[in-house]
Amino acid sequence: MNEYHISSFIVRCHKQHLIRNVEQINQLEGAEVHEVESTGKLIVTVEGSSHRFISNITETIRDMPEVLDVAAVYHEYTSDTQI
Amino acid sequence: MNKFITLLTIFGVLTASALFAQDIATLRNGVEISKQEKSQPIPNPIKDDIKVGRNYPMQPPIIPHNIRDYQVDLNVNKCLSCHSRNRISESQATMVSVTHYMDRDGNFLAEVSPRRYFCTQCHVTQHDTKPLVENDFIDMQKLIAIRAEKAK
Amino acid sequence: MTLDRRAFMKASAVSAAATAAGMNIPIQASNLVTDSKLTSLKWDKAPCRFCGTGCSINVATLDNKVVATHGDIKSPVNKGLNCVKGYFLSKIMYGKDRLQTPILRMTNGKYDKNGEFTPVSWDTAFDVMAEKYKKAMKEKGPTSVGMFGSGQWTVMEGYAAVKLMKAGFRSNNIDPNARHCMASAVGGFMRTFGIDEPMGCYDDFEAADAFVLWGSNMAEMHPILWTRITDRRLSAPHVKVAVLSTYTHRSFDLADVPMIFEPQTDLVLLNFIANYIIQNDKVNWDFVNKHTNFARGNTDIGYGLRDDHPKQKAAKNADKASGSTPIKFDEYAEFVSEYTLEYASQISGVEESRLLKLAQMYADPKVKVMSLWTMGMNQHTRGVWANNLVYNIHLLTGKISEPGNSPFSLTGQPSACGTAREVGTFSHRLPADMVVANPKHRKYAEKIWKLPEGTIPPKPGFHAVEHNRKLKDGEMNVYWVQCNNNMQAAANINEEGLPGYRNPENFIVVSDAYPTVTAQAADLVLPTAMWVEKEGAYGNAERRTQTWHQLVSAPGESKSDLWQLMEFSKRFKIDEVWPKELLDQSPEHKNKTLYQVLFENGQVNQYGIEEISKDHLNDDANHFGNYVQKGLFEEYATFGREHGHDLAPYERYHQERGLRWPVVDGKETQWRFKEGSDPYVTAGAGWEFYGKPDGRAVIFALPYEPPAEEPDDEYDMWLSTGRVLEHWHSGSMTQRVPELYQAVPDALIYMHPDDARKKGFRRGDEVKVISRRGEMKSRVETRGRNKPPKGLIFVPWFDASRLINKVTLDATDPISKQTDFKKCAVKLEKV
Repeated sequence: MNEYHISSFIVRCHKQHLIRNVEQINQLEGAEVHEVESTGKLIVTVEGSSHRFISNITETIRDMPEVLDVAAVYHEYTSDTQI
Repeated sequence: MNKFITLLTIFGVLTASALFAQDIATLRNGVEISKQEKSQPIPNPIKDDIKVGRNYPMQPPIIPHNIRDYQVDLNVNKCLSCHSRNRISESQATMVSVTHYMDRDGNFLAEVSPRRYFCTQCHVTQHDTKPLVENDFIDMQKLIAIRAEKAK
Repeated sequence: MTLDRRAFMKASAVSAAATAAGMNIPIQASNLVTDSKLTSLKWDKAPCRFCGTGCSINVATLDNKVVATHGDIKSPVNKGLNCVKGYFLSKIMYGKDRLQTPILRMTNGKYDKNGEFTPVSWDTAFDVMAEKYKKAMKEKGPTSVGMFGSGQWTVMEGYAAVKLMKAGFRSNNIDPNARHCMASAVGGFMRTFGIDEPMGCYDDFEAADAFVLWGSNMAEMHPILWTRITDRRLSAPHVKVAVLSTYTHRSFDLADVPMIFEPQTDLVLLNFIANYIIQNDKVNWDFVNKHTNFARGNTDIGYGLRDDHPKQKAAKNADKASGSTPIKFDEYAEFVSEYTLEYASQISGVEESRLLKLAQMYADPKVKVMSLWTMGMNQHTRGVWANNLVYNIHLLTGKISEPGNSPFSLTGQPSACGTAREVGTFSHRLPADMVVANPKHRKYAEKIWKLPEGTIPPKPGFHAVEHNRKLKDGEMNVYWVQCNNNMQAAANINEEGLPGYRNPENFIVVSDAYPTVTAQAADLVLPTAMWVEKEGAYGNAERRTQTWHQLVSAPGESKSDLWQLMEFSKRFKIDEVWPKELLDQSPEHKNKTLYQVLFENGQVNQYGIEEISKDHLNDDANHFGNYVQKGLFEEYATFGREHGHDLAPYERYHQERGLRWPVVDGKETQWRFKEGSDPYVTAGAGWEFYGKPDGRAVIFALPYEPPAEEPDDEYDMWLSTGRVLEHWHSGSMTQRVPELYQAVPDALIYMHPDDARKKGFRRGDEVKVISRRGEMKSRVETRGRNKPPKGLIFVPWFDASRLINKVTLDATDPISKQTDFKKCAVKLEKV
C-alpha cells in the first residue's frame, strides 16, 4: 500500500552560503525550497512514500556543512493511493 | 483516510515571567535604565541579492544589496543607472514600479517622477542582525486561506 | 482524491513552517483564491501615526487585523506617497510584546515601589491610582498631581485630559511632550503674530522659487514634504534650495547652497540677512509701514536651568525673559547694522559667497521664498528668538501669507498642532490660544464647561522640564504619563528624570501599548489602544484636522487613553477634589462624580451611539453609551468658532481628507492674514495680523547670545541629537517592525574621520560619550548618512538600549521652556 508523506522544516544556514544551500537542497529527491529569507532562513518541504525516507533526507540536509539547524514543523501523511 | 498532523511549536514564546520582573523594557534586553550592556558591533548590510517577500502588495521592496557610497543627489542618481526602464535589460535589475512615473496628479511622465527621486525615502537595506522583538503581523493571504478553509 | 489534494497538503506544510518562522509568503501562489467574497479587503482612510506632515493613509483590514497600508491618492498632502515608516504602519501594532493587562509593581500581593511588575485588573489598577491621587491632593493640594501628555494624543484625548486636570483636579501641572518639540515655535508665533500656527500651507511648496532649511533635515524628518520640494526643485530649474545645519545630512543632497554653521550662530545669520535687506534698500516699505511694529526684546535671559544654577543666578532678565519695549525702525536698523557679512561669516564659519546667495534669495522681491524649520531652531536656548528672527526677514520684505512666500514652522508630531497647541494641553494654556493666567480666558472656558467661576487655577503649572525636577524634589508626587516615552526623550535623566520617577515618595503611572523605558521606570503600567484601535482626530502642521474611525479591536484588555481618562474620573466625587467655596457656588454638582460633572454635562454626552458609523467599531462610544468622540470634539470646537480657529462639524471630517482651519462657511483657509484667502481679514486691509490688537506683526531686535554650554579643553566636542527617517521618535513602534529595525538597528556615534583618527578610534569601535551629567556607549560611525564637521558628533535618540539622554543638558529656552537637545559639550573615550 502506497503512502504519501509530507513534512516541512525551517532550515537555518550561514547566509553567505544561502544560494549554494538552496541549490544543494533542491537537488535532493523529494526536497524543495519554497521560501528564502536573506537572514539565512529557508522553508523546505520533503515529500516521500515513507517516514524513513523523509528522515533520511532530513539527516542529509542536517549534515550539510553550512547548515546550522533543521527544525521540523509539520508532518502529514495519507494512505490514499489515488493521490 | 488516515491522517495525523504534528505541529511542533518553535516559537520562543515571550515568557510570562518576563513580565514578572522589574526590567520590562523589551528593547533594552532586560537591562536596568541606569546601566547599559555592551553595544553590539555595527552589523553589516545584507547584500546577497535575494529578493525578500513583501508583507503586502504595496510595500516598497527592500534593497538586497549594498548601497554604500551610492551617489543620489542633484547631479546623479546611481540607483536609476540600473533600475530605470532603459537600463534594466543591461543590468537585469528590477524596473522601478510604474507608479514611479506618475506625477502628483496621476499623469504618466516619460521619466521617473522627480517626487520619487530620492529612493531611500522608501527603500532601505537590511542589516545582518536579529530583530529585537518578534512581530505578529499576519499576511492577508494567510487570513484568506483560513477563510477559504472555513468556507469548505 | 486528485493531485489538488497533494498540492493542498504541501501548501499547508509550507504555510505552517512559514508561520512558525515568522515569514510572510504567498502561500496560495500555486492555488490562488479568486473568490471575491473571500479576498476583498475593507479599505478606510486614516492619518499616518507618525510625523507632523499628516499624510493620509489607506488602511486595509481583514478579520479584525490591519493587513496593508499605503499612501492615500486622494490626499492633497501626500497624493499616494508614503515614507518607509508609513509603508510599514501595518506592522506597528503587532509587536509580540504588546501589553495585554495593567501591571503593577507588587510584593506579596500588595503595591510596592520596589516590587515586581504583576498583572492586575483595571479595577485594582484604578483603585491603587485613585488612592494615591486622593492622598497626595489631601496632603499637599492639587499641585501635587501632574500629567505628561503628548502631541500624539488624539484631539479628544488631549481635550479630556485638560478638562480632567485643569477643571477636575484643578491642577495646571499638565504638559505635553510637544514642549520638547514645538514650544519655541508657539512662543515665536505668539510674540510676533499674537496667534499660533503657520499662516501658509503646503500649497506653498508648488509655488515657491526658493527653499531655505534652517537647521531642519526634512529629507529624513518630513520625507513626504521633501518629495514635494524635490519635485519642485527638479521640475522647475530656476528653483534653488539652501540648506543650513551644524552637520551635513541627507537634505544636503538637494542643496544648491549648502551651509554648515557653528552651533548657535543661526542667530547671527538671521540678523545678517535683515541687515543686508536694509543696507541694500530691499525693505518693502508699503508692507512694513502698514502691517508691522518694531520692538527690542529683553536680553540676558538665562537658560531655563534650576534657579540655583550659577548661570541662572547671573542672568539679569531670567524672570522677565519675554519682555520687550517698542522701538522705531531706525533703532532696529542700527541694532542689526553690526551683523555685517564679514562678521556673520567669521562667527558662523560659512563662506561669504554662500551667505550672499542666501541673503539675495530673501532680498530679491521677485523670488518667492519658503523658510522651513523644526527642531534645529526650536530645540534652542534662544529658540523663540530664532523664530522671531525668521519672521523679521519675511516681514521686512512682505514675503508672507501668499502662495510661495511662507515662513513655515514644521511640526514634529502628528497632532502637536491639533492636540498640544490647539487644544492647549500646555501648563499655561487653554483651548484656542487662551491662557490660564488671563481671567477673561478662564471665565470663558468655565462658561463653556458649565463650571463655577474660579474652577480653573490662575497660576500656570509646571512645564515638562520642571516636571522631572519637581518629582525629584518630591513636590509633585503622583504623575500620569500618556502616549509618550519621556524617560527616553527628556534631557538629563541621570540627574533629574530617573531619580524623580524612582523617588520613594512618588507614584508613577504610564499608559502605553508597549513596555517602554518609561514604563520600566513606572510603578503602574496601563495597556493602551493605539492608532486605528480607536476613533480619533489629529491636526497636522498646515492646520489640517483629520479624523479616523476605529478599524480593529485593541488586544487583550488594552483601552484607549480616552477611556482611561474618563473611566478614571468616575473614581472621584467632586466633593473630594473641589474646595468648599467652589462647591457652594454650584450646589447642583454636589455628590456628583468628576465624570458626571465633566463628561455628562449635557454637551459631551449629547450625541447618541446611533450616530456612530454602522460600518465601523467604536469601543469607547459603546462603553460610555454615547458618541463621546463627537461630543468632546464639538464642545472643544465651541472655543474656537468665530475666534479665528473655526472647525467644521465633526461628521464632515470623516468624509474629507482633512480641512485647514479656520473653516468658515464650509470653506477651509489656505493663507491666513491675507485678504481674499482669510475670511477674518477686514476688507481693504490687504494683510491683517489680527492676533495683535492693532493688526500689526512685530519685528524684534534680538541679539546673538551664547549657548548654555560650549566645548572646552576637557569636554571638547559638541553633541547634537536627533531622529532618523526609519524610526519614529523613541522607536517604541518602529523598532518592533523587523524591516525598520534591520534598516537602522542601533544609534551610532556619527563623527568626522579626522576626529576619530585624532582620538585613536576606528569605525566600529565602542566608545563612551561623556558629559558632566552622564555617559552612554555606542559604536563610532565615520561614513554614515550624517557627516558632522570636525568638533561635533551626532547621536540619534531612537535606541532604547543606548540612551543618549543620559548625556544631554536640560537647559531650555527661558521663554518657551523647550529643551535644547542640539547643543552640549561632551568628551569621548574608548571603552
